[in-house]
Amino acid sequence: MNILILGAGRTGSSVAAALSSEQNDIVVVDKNPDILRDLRDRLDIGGVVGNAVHPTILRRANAAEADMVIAVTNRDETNLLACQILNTLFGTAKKIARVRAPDFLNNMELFSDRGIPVDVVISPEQIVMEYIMHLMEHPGALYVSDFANGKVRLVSVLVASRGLMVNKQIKQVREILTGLKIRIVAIFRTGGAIIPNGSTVIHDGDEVFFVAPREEIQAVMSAMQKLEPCYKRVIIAGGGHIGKCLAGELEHKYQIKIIEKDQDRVKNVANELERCTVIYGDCTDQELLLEEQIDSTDLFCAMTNDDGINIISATLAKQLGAKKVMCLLNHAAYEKLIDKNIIHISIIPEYATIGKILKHVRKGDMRQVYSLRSGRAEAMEVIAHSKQKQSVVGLRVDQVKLPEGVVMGALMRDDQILLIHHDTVFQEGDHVVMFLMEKKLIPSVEQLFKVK
Amino acid sequence: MLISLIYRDGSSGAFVDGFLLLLGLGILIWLPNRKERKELRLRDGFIVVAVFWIVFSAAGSLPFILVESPHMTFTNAFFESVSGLTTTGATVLSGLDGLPHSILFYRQQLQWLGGMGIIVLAVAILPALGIGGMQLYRAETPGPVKDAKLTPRIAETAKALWAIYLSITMACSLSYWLAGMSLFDAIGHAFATVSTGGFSTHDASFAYFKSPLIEMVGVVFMVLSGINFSLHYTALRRKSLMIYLHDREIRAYLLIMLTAIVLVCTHLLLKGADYTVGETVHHGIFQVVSFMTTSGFTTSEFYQWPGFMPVLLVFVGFIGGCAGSTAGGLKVVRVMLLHKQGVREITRLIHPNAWVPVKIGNKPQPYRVIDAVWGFFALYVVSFVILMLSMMEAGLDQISAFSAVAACINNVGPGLGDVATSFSTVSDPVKWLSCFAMLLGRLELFTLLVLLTPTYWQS
Repeated sequence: MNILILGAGRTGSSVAAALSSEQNDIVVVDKNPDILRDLRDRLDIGGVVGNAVHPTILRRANAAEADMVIAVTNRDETNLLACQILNTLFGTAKKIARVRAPDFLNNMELFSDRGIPVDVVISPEQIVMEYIMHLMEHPGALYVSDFANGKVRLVSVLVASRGLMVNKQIKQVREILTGLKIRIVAIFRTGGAIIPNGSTVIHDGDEVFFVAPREEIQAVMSAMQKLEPCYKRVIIAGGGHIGKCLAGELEHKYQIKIIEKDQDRVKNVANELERCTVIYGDCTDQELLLEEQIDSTDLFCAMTNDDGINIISATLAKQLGAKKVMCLLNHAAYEKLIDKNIIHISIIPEYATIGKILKHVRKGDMRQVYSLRSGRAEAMEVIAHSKQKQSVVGLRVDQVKLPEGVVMGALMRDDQILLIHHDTVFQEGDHVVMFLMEKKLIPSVEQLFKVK
Repeated sequence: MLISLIYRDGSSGAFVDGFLLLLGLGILIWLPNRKERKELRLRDGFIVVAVFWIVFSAAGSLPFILVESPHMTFTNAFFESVSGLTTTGATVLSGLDGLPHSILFYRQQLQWLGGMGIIVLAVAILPALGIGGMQLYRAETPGPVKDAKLTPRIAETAKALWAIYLSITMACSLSYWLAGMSLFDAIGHAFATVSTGGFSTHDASFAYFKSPLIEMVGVVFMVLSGINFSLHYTALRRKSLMIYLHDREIRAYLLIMLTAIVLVCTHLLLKGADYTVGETVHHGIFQVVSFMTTSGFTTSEFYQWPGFMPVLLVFVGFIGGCAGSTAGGLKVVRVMLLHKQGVREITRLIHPNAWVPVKIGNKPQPYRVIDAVWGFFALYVVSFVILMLSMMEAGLDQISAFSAVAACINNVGPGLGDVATSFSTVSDPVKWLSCFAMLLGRLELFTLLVLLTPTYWQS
């Protein structure tokens, strides 16, 4: 696929990195020659220096042959205009633009062929916010993502020693949870990944990925670990874009405190939000945290735009007694520094964003793609069609040649969730939720669902 | 090997032995390292390329050692192999017409592989290299701007380059064949022409054919091979010849070539070498083109031409072809940049407050590139001086030493004095020095010299 990426910022670079490893021809356009040179040193991509909305620059970046454009410069206006220009001059098939300003996002009717021709609008802040809200819905979950319009979710949990399932085989788990449509799709243990089958034994400390209908998730989780009570008291550090939106979404359900050290922003947040308490101060200040009863806080979210401050304040909060701690990391590389026992969940916007883009790059009728485990694994929801090249429609599950490491988690047919058995026969229009242990398995799955 | 079987000349054994030996060695080295999985870094690119060229040269010399006729020492075989791969075209062999066809073909083939670059070939066919391929590519391609890619992906670029290279070679073989060569000679010479190598299957080189037509075909393809291959690519894609006309480097390249041709021809006519007018013109054109593109084919005993002409030929070899071509030398674009820098200094003396950018066409060149060109030139001069002095120490006279270094470092091939026809008469140390000079020239100094600096090894 020929992909044009406008903007070599954090999102642009990480998208380029993820896509360039998969046989795509990628050209990145950016104004800054130094950033571009660094990127070209690291990745096998083309680069053009210049303003991403100028037709000459776009032409030089071979826009005429691009199948897809991903406009992720740091300005919404540039992204939108670039899509407009590419559409007019080159008729680029797929146009993805990042849009940050809520004003645009609240008027989605703008983005149509009559308005601004953008096919997919991506707002990393919104994606991150939704992700955090999913996580808050299931206290104790390390990862949550939606499939089949939210009917099915992929969840990961850490198995605790008190859980019902510890030292049990997976087939026994089925007996414990009779009637539930749960499927365990992967287990990660220190020392590597395990592809689960009926006789796999679940150990204490395993990270288990399972797929289950949304309303059954709590039941499954309670079998894996001691169920944590719902969060009530939440502190958000950082009143920036993400912090403010998050607080706005949550303030009616939870008791929210938001800490911000910039006075203008404090005023801004306090003026816009109704119920939450806005505190002017430094989130790495121990006295301030104690004063705000950090020790009785259920969840501490470090959401400033500085990774260093996020890590420090989250660690401090945990030490001062916060029960659960979440931390936003803009640099994915810092994830390795983090001790999972202190900072329970790290949220990396670039991985959250990349899935939305991958959905359009993957061959096949993809509904959802999520990049997991620092981009090493992937989960996807794809629709089976009979017109596909090697269609699975009409085949039984055990007749489909799936490579080792690909696990089917659930199936949605006519809005009904079905559990996949070895004798399930695929039908036209089935939504299949799959978990891929490794990225290199993607081509073989694409092969099965590629649209002619 | 195939050729050896076709012509039944009994030297296939040497190729089989050589091949098996290398395969065995390769497996031995690969086995303990097969589990290693690491991305190549920038610094690894240099060592991989340099080591690869040296090892490949050594490996390439095996058939020469193993074959019964001609019997060659290791030094000679290594020299022949390096000279082939670096597309220099200097030889230690004589009596080529009597050698087995397989060995002759093998020499031509070495040049052909070396022409576009073995690494580029490896990048094209090994998909696993990824970004590592870029580091290698950069360490091998000639020209001042190293990371110019034709396509976003390096493997695609390498494939495109080889595809163009292959098609020019085929066109060249066909033209030679139609012009009257035997098929074997046509393919062999096409290999050496398009790679601007200069090996021939005959002692007399192009003079053997005594055909102006063949020489002119050679001239056309040498000129084509001396042009930046990415221009060929763009011209092919846009299906337009205007691309060539708009390129400043090509204009300069042709201009220099034309000036040298006119100089040589008029001088030959005036000084009354015993040629007819027609002969003068075609020898003049052929010799200048052959030297400028650093091929080093000969049609005449140019080293006996009167006056400054032999030296002039050596000097056009310094300029060489365009960046990104198969030719050696300094490269036209570097010479242009140096020249423009010189002009700029003069302008500055006249207008001390003027802001004078160095431009090629309408494009101002980044300081980084200009700096690199100066650095390159300085190292070139220093390397040249050191090599020349060492060669004189090893027993060559001044003219021979000068021309031998020029012939090797520019990858031209023939020099003057003792080394005018072949390097067979010089001593072993001179041959080793020449090998080093050839590799230095082919890898454009930096790749090899980087390895000689202490900073590279401090980690």
